[in-house]
Amino acid sequence: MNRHQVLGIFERIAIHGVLVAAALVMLTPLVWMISTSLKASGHSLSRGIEWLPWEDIYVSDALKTPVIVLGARVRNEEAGNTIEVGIASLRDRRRRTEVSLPEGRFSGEVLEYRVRNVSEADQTAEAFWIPCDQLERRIGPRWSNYSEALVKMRFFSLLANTVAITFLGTLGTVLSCSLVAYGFARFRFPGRETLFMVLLSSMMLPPVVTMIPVYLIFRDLHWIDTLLPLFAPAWLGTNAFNVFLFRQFYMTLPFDLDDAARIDGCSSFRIYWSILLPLSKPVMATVGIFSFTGLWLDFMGPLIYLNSIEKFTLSLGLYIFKGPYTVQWDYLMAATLVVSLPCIVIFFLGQRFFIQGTVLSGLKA
Amino acid sequence: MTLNIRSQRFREAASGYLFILPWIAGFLVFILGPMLASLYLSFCRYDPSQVRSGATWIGVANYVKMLTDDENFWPSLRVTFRYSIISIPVQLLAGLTVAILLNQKVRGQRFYRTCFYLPVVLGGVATSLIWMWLFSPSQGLINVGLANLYEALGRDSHLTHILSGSLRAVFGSAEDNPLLPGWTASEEGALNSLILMSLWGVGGSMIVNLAGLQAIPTVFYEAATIDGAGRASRLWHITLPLLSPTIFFNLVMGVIGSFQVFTQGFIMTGGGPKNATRFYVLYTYQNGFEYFKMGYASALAWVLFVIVLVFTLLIVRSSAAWVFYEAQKR
Amino acid sequence: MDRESTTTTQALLDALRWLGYGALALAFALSLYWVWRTSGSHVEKGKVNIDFLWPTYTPQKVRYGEHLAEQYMKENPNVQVNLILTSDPYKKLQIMIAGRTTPDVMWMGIGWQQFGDALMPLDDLAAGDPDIRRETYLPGLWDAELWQGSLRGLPSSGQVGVLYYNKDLFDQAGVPYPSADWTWDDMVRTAKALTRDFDGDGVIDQYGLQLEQVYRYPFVVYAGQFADSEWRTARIDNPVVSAMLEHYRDLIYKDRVMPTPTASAELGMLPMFEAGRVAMHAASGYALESFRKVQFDWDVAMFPWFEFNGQRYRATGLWQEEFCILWNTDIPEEAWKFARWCAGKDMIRWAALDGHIVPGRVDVATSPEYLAPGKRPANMRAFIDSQSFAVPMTPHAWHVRIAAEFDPIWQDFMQSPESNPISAAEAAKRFNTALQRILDEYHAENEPLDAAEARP
Repeated sequence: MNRHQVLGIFERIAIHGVLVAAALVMLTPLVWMISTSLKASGHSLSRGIEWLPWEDIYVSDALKTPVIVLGARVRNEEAGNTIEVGIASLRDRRRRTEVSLPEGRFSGEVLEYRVRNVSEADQTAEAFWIPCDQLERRIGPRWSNYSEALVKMRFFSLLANTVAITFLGTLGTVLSCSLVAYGFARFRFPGRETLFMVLLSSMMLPPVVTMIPVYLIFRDLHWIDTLLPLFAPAWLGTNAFNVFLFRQFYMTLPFDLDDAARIDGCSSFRIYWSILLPLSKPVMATVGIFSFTGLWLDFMGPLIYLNSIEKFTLSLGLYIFKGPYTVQWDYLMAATLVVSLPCIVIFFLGQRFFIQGTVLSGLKA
Repeated sequence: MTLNIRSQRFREAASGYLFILPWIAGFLVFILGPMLASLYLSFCRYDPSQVRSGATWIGVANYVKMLTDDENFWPSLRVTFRYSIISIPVQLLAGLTVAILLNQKVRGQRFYRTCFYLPVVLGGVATSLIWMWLFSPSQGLINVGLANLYEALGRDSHLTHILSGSLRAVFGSAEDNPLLPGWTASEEGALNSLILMSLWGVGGSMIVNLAGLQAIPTVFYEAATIDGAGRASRLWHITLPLLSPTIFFNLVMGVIGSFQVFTQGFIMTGGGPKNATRFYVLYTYQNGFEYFKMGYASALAWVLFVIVLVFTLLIVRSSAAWVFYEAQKR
Repeated sequence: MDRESTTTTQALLDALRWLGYGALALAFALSLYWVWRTSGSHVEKGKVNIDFLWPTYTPQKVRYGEHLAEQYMKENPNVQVNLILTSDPYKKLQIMIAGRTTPDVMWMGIGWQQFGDALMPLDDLAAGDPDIRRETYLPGLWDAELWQGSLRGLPSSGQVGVLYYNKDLFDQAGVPYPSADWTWDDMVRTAKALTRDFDGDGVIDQYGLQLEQVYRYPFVVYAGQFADSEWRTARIDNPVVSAMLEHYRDLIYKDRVMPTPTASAELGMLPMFEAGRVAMHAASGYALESFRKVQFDWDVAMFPWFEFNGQRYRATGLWQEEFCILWNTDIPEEAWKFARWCAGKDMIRWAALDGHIVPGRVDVATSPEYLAPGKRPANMRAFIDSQSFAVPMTPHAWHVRIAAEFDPIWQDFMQSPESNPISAAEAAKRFNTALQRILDEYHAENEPLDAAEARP
């Protein structure tokens, strides 16, 4: 092994080290979401940080019932007495454990636990005592949070609307923005630079103040409470961000391409469709991913234009778990994860087009 | 001959207009009208919660009030400027670094890319709630982790002091613990915390850069390697110049986006503590939708429009010097 | 590879590509079909169409709204109730008002006064209705529905602030439950016994008390209102308010029984109480739905008395939910019938027993079936009894702005002694000045119009 190879290995280790660390940081919110989505409601904020959805089980004869542990009777070995403490005072669920009280800490032996049945129907269930060895602690993920959340937010009825909007909007954005960008990037015409600044400037006014006038336009078109306002404008290249992105990409392609094709008798549209578009797969994937994500998660548009719940999108549906004062953490997290899944899949698939040298191989072909 | 060139020019221009026609139509129908309407409203008093009255023309009174009689105007503008000045370069650099790293052939490349893009996708209400929990000074994951770390290093150790001191210098101090940073809850740290948080969205500019990197023909690298160019030299002489259209894109969008920053201040901090994160657009929103002064809000928005336009024009003008377009060679 | 197989592969690839195009076209057609299908209007010709705006705060709330619409249509076959659901009713309403597409009837809650001028005065309609009068509702509720002297909504729910307390934590600490007549000092003493730092790391793990942010104002105005009844003169700057402020701040920094404002804003207070990390929690009836799911035993109590200079003061915030009619409705009579039906005894009884609301009607609130034992909270009466000293919360059109301007003052005041906060008297003075400035500006811009002139 020569010096170069050794360095190469070190370098690879270093790169992976950095990437793994960064990926961990990036994944933390996701992991916590998954963990919260599997906990029983009210457990999401237990003292300290619990990554796993623990559950207490009372084992009696043949029955195993989930219980909530309220407190314990502990023997203080140093003082020789037995006292009753709240469950938060115990360090862990072991037989010999450390007990912290306002008066001080001691190590003690748990004799009995005070528990109550977990049962939503019976709110007034009485607490009872069970011997220490009949309490088991196990990981009990609540998968039912997922099904319950999806039912409560009417997932499947909202899914169809969201899919329709996202599909039509993404298709329209990719086609119209690439076409408009082609016009800006590859043709000289009077006022081109000015018009391009106008295009950019349409992004510079905070949407807060245009919200009401835009609403009036859609009202006059009789598009309120339909899916149209959410995707139809996308077909007219109104998304300046994506036009700009396409334009920047086209500007990097040599003009020889167009000239050669034109000599072969290709029309301008043909050059766009058969030469530039196939070459711009990476940027098409990028615009596609952005546009998909944007439409799928769009909240403000649906909030303003949709009235009936059967026309709602998934992003509106998520708000059913968050009122102005209450949050149903478990359901919200479960539903958010499910709703986000298609975006992750689309990104994973879209990456296929990020392959270096596509342009070159395109040139040779 | 001249006629021929002329007619060629004319045809080129006609095709150009034809291709941008969809946008012109869309702009005229959906964008221009509302922009002009808000410009008109900026000279009016208009309360959108009133059923009985529309807008009343009051001339430039809104603009005069903004400059002379609004104690929140300058502070909110300052907050937005501070945010932009720090976040634009940081975002740009982070997006570039991540993209270049993940453009190499590393094992698990797709997985890493997905990790970086994930936070962009996990949008919606849930994310901001998660963030509030992460940043929570007394019970959040970050501070609990830091507390454990300091415990392990020893509370009074030199390392703890350096670490805690530098973190607190940037992110403020927690109220009830002298060692931990206060993040979004502290007046000094709130803005920087939001900037830090915005880095989780780096996946967006990462994929733009990745797409840009794909456009660089591999022959250039091959030729440079044969010429014996080192890695740094290839980065400096090939990657960066050829990526400059993408960098230009990210810079312009960074300016437009960061001057309009709003959401985090609205959802996470509500503009606080003590207006430390009351961004300009947040203040605009409050005027329009909470104080019912839509006319005044419009005036605020148009002032911002002019500011952003000036900055964008400066960048566009400067771009001739540093952005290299293959298509300009003609 | 020989030529033949190359052509076969090529043909296969082509077929696949066309299949892809076909699938794309199919998806396109299906999506368009879906858009067309969902574009149909709800308006039914030949029927009375009532647009009804309702919030989607919780799944239960949605069911409540849907039940109202369905039930009313069942009873009135000539009526079509179009339910407009939204997670942000006020913003939606604002845009609808600007677009002149307002609903006919809508739910309103906290802060409805910001739309006071958009709501139809109901006095004339109520005058001919024996059921709609002051005595039908719990004390204070009727007045809370007034805007510029006229009735603007029919209350469904009267939400007052009460103290929720975790009985299990009380039992463990061996302290008595709050009584109906307890004082501020009793509350502080109890809270001290319930505040714990279990692991001895200097960070408190269990707090005795927390007050929802909105409750800081009822405590500020324990002695009464923010302003005079006309809302022209601010009334915050007085010794009782100063004393109240001082005691409030002491809960955090002197008595050390309450989390700091930032600590409690971090995670939301409901989850803290639900996780058993706070023993007493001041909130209104909205918390019931959430707390009914928790596993420990809890109950509610009235706010304590505050003693100052030999006088006793007590107040709590009052928020109500109501059914309102928008002023530019085309069908005022039908809208009134519907709103009146929603706020009538039968529907309120149903909603109360189903756990949607704390009923504002005396007949339902005091009925044995509503106060039935065996349900949490056992002391449901606290909600009803507290109404006698409840104050409507900031009944002003610009209440959001008032809150926003109070905020920095509040933050200057609510600081630990080391950071040299402003004094309580200074805070009261600043609150007063800020409020007065807003009230003056409001009156300069909005002189109230006569009803006749104001009708759009």
